[in-house]
Amino acid sequence: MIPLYLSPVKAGFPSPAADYLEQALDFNELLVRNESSTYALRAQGDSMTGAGIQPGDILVVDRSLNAVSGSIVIASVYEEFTVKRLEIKDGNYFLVPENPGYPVLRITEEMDFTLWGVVTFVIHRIQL
Amino acid sequence: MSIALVDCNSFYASCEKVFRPDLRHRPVVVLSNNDGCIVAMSPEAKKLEIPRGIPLFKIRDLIEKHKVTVFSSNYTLYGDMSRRIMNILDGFSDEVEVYSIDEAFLTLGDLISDDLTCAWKIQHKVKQCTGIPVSVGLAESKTLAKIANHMGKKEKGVFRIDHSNWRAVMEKTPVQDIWGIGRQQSLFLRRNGIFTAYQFSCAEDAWVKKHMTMTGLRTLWELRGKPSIELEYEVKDKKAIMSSRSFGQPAVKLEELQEASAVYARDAVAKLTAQNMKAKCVTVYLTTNRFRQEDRQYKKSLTVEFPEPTDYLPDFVKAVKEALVQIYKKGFRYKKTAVYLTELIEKDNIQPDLFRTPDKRKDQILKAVADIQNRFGKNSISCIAPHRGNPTWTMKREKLSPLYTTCWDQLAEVGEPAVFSRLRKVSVSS
Repeated sequence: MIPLYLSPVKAGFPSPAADYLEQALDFNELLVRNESSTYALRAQGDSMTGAGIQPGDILVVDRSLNAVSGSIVIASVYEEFTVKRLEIKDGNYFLVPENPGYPVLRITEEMDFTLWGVVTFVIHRIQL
Repeated sequence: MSIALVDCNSFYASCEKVFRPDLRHRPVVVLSNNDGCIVAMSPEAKKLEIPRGIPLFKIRDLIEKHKVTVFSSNYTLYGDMSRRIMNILDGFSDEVEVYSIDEAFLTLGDLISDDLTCAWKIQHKVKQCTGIPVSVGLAESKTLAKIANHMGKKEKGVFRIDHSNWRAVMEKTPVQDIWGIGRQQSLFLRRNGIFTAYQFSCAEDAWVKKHMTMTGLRTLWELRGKPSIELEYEVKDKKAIMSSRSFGQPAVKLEELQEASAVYARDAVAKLTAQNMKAKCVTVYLTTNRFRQEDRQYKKSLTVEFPEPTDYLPDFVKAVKEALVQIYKKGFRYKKTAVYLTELIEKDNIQPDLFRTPDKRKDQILKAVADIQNRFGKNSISCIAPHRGNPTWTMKREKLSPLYTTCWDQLAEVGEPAVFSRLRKVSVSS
């Protein structure tokens, strides 16, 4: 990030803070690396609570990233979206939940599995 | 260096599928304004041989029998996906001409071999980043690139016309499929024994110029591989802000033009306020499609000057709608309208007119509108100015999909697929 230096000289004398002023924190810059490929989806299940994803949270998803073993991804299986951790072992793909109440799913061809994008951030609201 | 035409496959239908994994292999159609006719179809729907442009009511049985999913046009969604795609294309070339909501011309590379690799990369990147499949046609001119794109669509999606296949492609292309040659002209050519693009390319310059004007001659040169039609790429200009798009389907009604132009006005004003400026003039321009020779041609513009510079959206929308009433002519098929803001001035530099009292209420209204738009989406509130004829005119859009990419309340949801619950029950009982 390139800091922008502002110089407020309205009062006629230079402010001692002038050399240290930078642009305010930009949340877009933090959360969105590639605007063209970044989307927001809403989590509704509770299979990933162990990863900090709770029902109602916003998932920031980047489609331009290549998913690797360990990435939390949005995928579709049997034509439905799901959010899970992807694991690749010996050429097999697994969708792994982070909640003991849910099973690990080994991907087979009949599931019509597709990777939709990689989750980069989860936004959880605390105060209404 | 060559010219590429990048064009999305079944764009509206493809957009509708991105956030609907359940529709991935299913036939999908999208309806025109007022839920009238079919304007877009997914490949599965095309296989059902539904004619493009057919009114919905005529194929109700077919829709039900094959469980075709029907959508109203979701321009907000398509506009946003288009924006993303055009941004991605910007990364591949300094010269990008956005030709319509789902097509763009680009100049690519310097060496022949780089062009093709680039084209495959474009196809892959757009698909990965947006989920939209595109075809890329490569050639030495725009007209040839259009033909190449058409060839590409039938195959893997990327096709290049060069010396080795030029003649074969030209012989396979009937004159009516040439970009820039309309029905009347193709009938004329056929009457004169010219049926293919190759035969046309052998015609004499003088003869073509005489019977098809300079436009026809340029098309001829382009077919021969000599670029003769300029790439119109947008240059950022501090003196003017423009917002415009070509229509997917030609617009004939004043209301359609007004609605589209109101959206362009809103877009232009958003750019204006983002630059912290006000504008004193707004110009509306409308035109028919100059490449469709069979259409009667008409283009006109009108400029409205405000008493003082403004950034109040309702002023612009009202001016644009009224200007269109002045310049609109019935009986033409319009390809696009454009809204230009000129005589721009930085907000801090404005000298107030001594004889006008600024209306503070306007600023308050503007802020309230912006707040509502931020919370509920851009289309939740808009300016509807009553106009002559039908003051309660609205557009019917009963099957509108959510504003997945522009409204926090309408995001796509990620739940728990049944497969996980099924397995869950099994593991609990065992």
